[in-house]
Amino acid sequence: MSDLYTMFAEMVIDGNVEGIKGLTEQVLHEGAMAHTILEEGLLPGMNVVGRRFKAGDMFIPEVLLSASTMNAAMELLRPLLSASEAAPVGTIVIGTVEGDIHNIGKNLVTMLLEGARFKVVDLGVDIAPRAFVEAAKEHKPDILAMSALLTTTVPKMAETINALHEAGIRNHLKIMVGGAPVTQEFADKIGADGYASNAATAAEKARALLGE
Amino acid sequence: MDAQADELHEKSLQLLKTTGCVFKDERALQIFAEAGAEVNFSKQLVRIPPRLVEDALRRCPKRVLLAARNPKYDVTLEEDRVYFGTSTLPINVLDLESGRLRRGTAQDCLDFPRLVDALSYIHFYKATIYPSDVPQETAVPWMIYGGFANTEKEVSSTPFTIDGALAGIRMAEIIAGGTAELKKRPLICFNVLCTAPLTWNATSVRILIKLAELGLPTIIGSEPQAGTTAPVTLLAATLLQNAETLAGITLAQIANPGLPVIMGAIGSISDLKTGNFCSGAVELGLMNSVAAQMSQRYGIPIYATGGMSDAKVSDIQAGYEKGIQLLITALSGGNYIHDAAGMLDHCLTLSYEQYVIDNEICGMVARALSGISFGDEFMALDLINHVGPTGNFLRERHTLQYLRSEHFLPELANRKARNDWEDEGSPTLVDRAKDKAREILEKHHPTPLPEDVDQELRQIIKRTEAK
Repeated sequence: MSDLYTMFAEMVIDGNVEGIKGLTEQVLHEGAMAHTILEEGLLPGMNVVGRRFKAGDMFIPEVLLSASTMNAAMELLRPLLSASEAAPVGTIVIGTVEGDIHNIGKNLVTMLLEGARFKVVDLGVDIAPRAFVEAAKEHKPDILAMSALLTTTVPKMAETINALHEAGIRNHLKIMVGGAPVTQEFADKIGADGYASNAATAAEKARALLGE
Repeated sequence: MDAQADELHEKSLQLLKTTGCVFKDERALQIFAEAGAEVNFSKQLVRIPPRLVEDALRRCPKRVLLAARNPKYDVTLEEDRVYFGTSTLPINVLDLESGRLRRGTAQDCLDFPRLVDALSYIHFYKATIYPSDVPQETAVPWMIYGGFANTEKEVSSTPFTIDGALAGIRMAEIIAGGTAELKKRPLICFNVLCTAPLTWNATSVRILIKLAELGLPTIIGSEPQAGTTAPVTLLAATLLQNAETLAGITLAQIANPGLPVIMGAIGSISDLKTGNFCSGAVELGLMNSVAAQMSQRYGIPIYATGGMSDAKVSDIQAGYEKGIQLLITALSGGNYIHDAAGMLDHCLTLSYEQYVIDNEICGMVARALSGISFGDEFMALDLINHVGPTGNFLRERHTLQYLRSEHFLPELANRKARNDWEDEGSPTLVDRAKDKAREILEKHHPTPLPEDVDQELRQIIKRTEAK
């Protein structure tokens, strides 16, 4: 049986979307448990992907394909999993701060967080502090994440954190920041809970913040 | 080659006609609509008919003058004439004394241009370090002021905001002696860029229209990244870069027919392992090469890019990435090659020693560009016959006469025998570059602005702060 779950893991690593659909259907039909497929097949596969990505041995498009492959299997497994097993590991609200229109980094982190089974609400770019606050109230995320590429807009991160304080919800969530001009030092100074200098680490840090 | 350029042009027109380009500004949408483009106001999408683009290209002047405070440093952009210059993006500095990374300061805004003023292969000064120790609204005015005050070379900048652009233009007007004088001799030039794919954001568009109305030379370009904001294939990324640029140029020419424009190519690849922009990629040189060919086809000068590296310090990676990339862009005839000096680390960091090193790289590339001179004096057949077999040429007047113009004379590269180099203390290139930078900063003082002009410029900075 362990060989069978290795096949799932390998298909995730190889990005074999079609293959995994067939395999999942077949294995469920033969009586395997959905949560076992998830725990012993899919998740180990994504863990390998995560490690290789962090080591610089896998390209982002390959990682995204692996995530799509896992999703393809999850589509078939979800109805058979318990509510907690099927649920995302957490919810993240993400956006680029006010005055800044850069979005590649944010989009990359979003895709990888989704691949890591987070639910991500992407607000887009040029998001004012109060818009972050409104979104936090609406979606009640575990993490609020902010991105900026311009030094001119980086101060908006502190403003947003203040706005969350004033709305009385700062301590209901964790705050992560990122972007080329952002540093660990700056993140500490403004009281953010997490900072990552690259997308691979961002997903890891997000999980760590949730105590995963 | 021509057939390929034609096809790239045709496909650019097709893209703009069928998929169109987003312009996030009401006024721009109206300008396009009135000119006959198909505009979807709610989606802010413009489908541009080919004839509007062709008309625009025909109206662009073939030669653009960018004036310098000292006319001997004027930059005349045309055909395949090449100039090297600096960049407006970095926010960090590797401190000259400690070597540690720090944020840029207002003092750097004054010191970098003074350094560049003394480096002979750097032809223009794009206002280059973002000061973090001043009120943010005054940052761009500080950058531009530093350029005008501390170098006699041609000054340009990224505006970041409309207020930044207007402050810079006001400064330039004061130095020029009036609005009309500034138009005749434009002492400042700004660049506006599209956000790939096919999206001109609000600030860029508003600045573009403002610059067009003022009739000042405007750099209009794009910086797609192959693999993220453009397809991974270099040809497709170059296609997008070209189309996005044409869309911006068309808007500018409708707003002010005959406006001097410079098409801009800053596209590169994304590192598909990290998603980071690769400033030092050889592919940037290749994309720039194609853009230069298109600029020559269109007869419009080009704001080209070359000489960058993603190295974090002035090391070997910095050397070869910059050298290879700059050579490609320069040999392709990129006219206004910015980013050619000073930068490291994905356009984030400057170092004083890197300017000195890059000056030498620019010098070597300039030498490569000038090629091997032809003619009787250079063939020196009579001389060879005269010296004859088993002779030597060291004592010949011809040697002394042409030595400086024929041979590039590096200041930094060490060509001594190993023994002699060891006797000197085995200096590294970086050590020597730092020493040279210190020497320049200590001794070099460009002609200052007249006192009253300098005061007025500083007033402009203060007034920006009051806002």
